Amino acid sequence: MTDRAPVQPGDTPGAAAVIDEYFDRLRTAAAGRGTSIAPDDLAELRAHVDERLHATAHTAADATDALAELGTPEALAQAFADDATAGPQGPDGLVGRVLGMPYDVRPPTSDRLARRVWDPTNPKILVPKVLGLGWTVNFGALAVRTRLVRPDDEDDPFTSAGSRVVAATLAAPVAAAVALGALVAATWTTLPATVPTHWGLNGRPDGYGSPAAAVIAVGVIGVVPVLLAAAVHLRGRHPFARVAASAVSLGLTALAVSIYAQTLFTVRGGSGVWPTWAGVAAFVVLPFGLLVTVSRRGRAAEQRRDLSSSPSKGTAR
Amino acid sequence: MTNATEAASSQLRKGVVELAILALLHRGEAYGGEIVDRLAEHPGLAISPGTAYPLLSRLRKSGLITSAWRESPVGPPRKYYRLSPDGEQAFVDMARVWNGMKDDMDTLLGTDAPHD
Repeated sequence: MTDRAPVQPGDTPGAAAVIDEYFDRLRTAAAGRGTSIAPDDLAELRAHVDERLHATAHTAADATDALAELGTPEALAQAFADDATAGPQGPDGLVGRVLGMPYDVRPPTSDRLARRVWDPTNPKILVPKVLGLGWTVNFGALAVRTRLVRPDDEDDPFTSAGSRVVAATLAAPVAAAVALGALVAATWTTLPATVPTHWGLNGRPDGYGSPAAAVIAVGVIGVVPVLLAAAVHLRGRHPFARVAASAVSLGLTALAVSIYAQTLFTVRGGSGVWPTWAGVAAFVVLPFGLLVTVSRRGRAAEQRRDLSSSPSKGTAR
Repeated sequence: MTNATEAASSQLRKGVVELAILALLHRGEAYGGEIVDRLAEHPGLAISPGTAYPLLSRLRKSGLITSAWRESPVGPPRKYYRLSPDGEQAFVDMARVWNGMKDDMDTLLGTDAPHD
């Protein structure tokens, strides 16, 4: 949205400048919130302002008064952004559904990733992926469903657990990545010139590649997410984002370990894909365990804070 | 009910339920499950936990309600919600707006509106 709202014939230069400045701020604020306002909506807003100015002298003060009805440009942009995310179609079609499946192709952020993988207030276990087509697991809903946490256990997810706990969560994926590196280093030279890289549903390999290609793929799946998680921690992001990044990278690294283990298993004569299934299980169970553990520590910290300061009891129902 | 009217009804209910929660908490503190149960006593205001908890979270973040854990006489501690001073004022303001809207809407709808 770069087109300028046209100056209406009746506007004085003062009124026009005030209105243009308002709409410029509105566009900037909308862009800052990852959305844009449709030309029709802007034209409608402009028409509303013009209508309000109709019976006035079109001074800058009149324009300011008319624009005041719309609220600040920032608040109005937020309202448009909220509408865009609440509806089925997101800003510029970057978020929406195709053939019944959700998609989101906005640049992912650690905050959005955290809100997707841990939202105990949302009962839906499968939620749209933070990037791409399909769904991901809302571990928060799973934790509520399994009665490990309650939807409102924590005021602010993972914040009350303490900075040391939050920082320590990164140790889990780092340890998994180190284990992956050690496994690859110890077995790399034993691999044949061609290794299986894909397996069919019957458990037999149906795709082959070089050991180098297999290791690169495993590294991309297992190490890159850990580096990204480390960046989220090092940049001092909110504890919610940091713990979620640790958990997701832990799951992916466990999956990478299982893929490499599957390769080793097959080249050494094993049949079946149980290492892969073990990896898929670890992909879900390990992040779930990490997130639930930190959440429960946060709940315990909140309870210590409140229950030690207030001896009053709630009412039974 | 079409998708469009369902969405509009949902929006209408959200605002009203927010006021209903403030009204409940104006009478005294309550925990999440209790709020859901007490709203369910009024079929028109009944909401699922999936609606209630995000709403409570939003009200807390906006400073209208506060939360604190309390020991429960019948189980593990519970998180109780109560109105903050800002929430008390918001309740008074919103109740005033609601009363004005209610009368105006009754007049506007007249006898045309179907009653279940």
